[in-house]
Amino acid sequence: MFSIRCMYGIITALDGVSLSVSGGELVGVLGPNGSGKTTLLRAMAGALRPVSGKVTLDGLDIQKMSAKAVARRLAVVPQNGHTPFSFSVRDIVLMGRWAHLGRFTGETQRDIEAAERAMEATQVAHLAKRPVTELSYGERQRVMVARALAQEPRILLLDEPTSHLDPRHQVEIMDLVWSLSRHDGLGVLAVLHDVNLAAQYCDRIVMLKGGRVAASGSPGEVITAQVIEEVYGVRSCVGPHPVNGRPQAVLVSGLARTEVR
Amino acid sequence: MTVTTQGGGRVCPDGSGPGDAAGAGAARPAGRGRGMAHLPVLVLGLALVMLIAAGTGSVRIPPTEVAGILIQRVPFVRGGGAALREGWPASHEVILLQVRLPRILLAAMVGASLATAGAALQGLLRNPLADPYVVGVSAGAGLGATIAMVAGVPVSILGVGSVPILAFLGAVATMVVVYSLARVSGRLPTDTFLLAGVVVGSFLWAAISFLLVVSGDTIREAMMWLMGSLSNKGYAHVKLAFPYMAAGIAALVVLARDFNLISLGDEEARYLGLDPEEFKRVAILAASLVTAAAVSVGGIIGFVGLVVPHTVRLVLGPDHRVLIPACAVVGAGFLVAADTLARMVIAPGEIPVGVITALAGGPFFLYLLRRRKTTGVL
Repeated sequence: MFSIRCMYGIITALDGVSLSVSGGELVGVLGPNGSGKTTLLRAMAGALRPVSGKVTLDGLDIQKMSAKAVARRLAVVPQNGHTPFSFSVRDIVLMGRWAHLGRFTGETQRDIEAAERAMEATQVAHLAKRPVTELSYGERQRVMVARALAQEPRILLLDEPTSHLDPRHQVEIMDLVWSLSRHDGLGVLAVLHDVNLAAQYCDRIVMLKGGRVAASGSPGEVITAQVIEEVYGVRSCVGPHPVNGRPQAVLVSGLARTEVR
Repeated sequence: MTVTTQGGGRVCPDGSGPGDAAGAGAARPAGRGRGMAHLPVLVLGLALVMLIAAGTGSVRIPPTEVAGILIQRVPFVRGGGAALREGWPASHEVILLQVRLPRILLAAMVGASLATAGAALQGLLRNPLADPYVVGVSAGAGLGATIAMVAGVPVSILGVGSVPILAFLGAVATMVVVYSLARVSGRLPTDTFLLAGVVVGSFLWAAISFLLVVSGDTIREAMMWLMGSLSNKGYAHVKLAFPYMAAGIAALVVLARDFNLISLGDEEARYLGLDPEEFKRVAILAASLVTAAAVSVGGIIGFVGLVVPHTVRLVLGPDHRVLIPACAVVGAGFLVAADTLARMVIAPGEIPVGVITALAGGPFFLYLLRRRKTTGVL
């Protein structure tokens, strides 16, 4: 994936961002609200045409590929996926197979198996017959990941997979995403809100600010008090995680010390 | 955590999964099992409704006789039918074949069209309260028909008068206008599309009202048409509308799986491999053609396209692969029954069938809405 520039009307949302994701790698994208994280993800998925630059997938310009061809190689877990219709979990996950089906052929045994494997991996198999409209937010998020896995992609893009989740579900989703990249060889790019979760799980972190890359590299290189202050405009203390030694940032209040106490 | 997914690297370059050929011959166990089994039952129900409707009217014809008359018209079994021939007066045959049958066929076709178009547009617009007329097609057809009636345009194609022809042209023209109005740089945002349909529709209704007010004596005829009526129609109307309806409904059935994807939203559909803009073009064209054909021969019959898809979804679930064909069958049966009531209630007079569907559909729809309020599920 090469340098791209994306605009909405006259507003430049992304400018000269350049990054690549390869198999077995978990890349985190961090940045404040409006820094272009979601724009970047949409451009990488081919849903948004960059004004200049291009996104390549397997050496091909993604804008020149059909949506179907892209979906066989790359899957997206969008933020709060929602349908007004009460499809069952199984139906939703099977929709991940759409790009693999012919116009006049139904799902084959292989498609069913792919969907079932995906539901096992995300631990939603027991929910298969439940309508998605009745699930909790955390369950629905796992169903969205299952649907993406049913696509059998090589690249997986996730848009804030942990937002609105409680701590346990956050850890479960991140564990799952990590093992998909490590054990199954998927190239994963996750837009994340939580600096510390990103630091714990990601191999590389790209920090966006105002549509440009403010910092990029290993968590150790990117998660520093200077970078966090520069990007988010907030003071922090960074120290090692007590278990795995990854950098963890503790935010410092902008109020005077005595007031917070 | 153990993960058993076999991700990565399993995508075949030509797009067909390696298992496709092997699995194609296997039984189709997919997720549609829930509803597909009901389809034969629904078809049987439709046949029964049509049989009863054919026997009902100022002259009663018993169902066995209806079946006999029909069977002896079927090629290859004529011989068997001839054996039954003694049983009924010749007048019954004329009434059934020349008067009731074309009307019943037309009612079934119109009902099937409106219900499938409604189901399709509800899925496409992700709004369970959408109906086939949201696109403004009904108003366009209404204006065409009103012009034909007020001006008395002397056109006739295939033995059909100017009213259905102009109605059809009005409907198609409206669809084109709404579609191009709503297009923003190559995309068709769903909300803009809905708004454009509503705005164009209101404008056209104002034009219809104006024409009716200045026309004077044709107002009664025009009102009957606008409220939806299947009276005074013959095989010519059946032949005129059938190709569009058949082609459109077939297209919607073939696209059923894509409707499932688009009902998740344009962006999600794209991520799953469906180009949303391309799909919307085809789907709106098919749904609008079907609606235009239905309106041109049946007038503006309300509620069928709203209540039938809603009810079927409630019972058989939201999977469009089941929903769309089931809507065709249930819509047909519903309108045949409603039209039979329309010609029975104040016989020998007639009520516009649109009044019957609204009277039956309105309260039922309220019940559905109440149910939705308590269960929160559509």
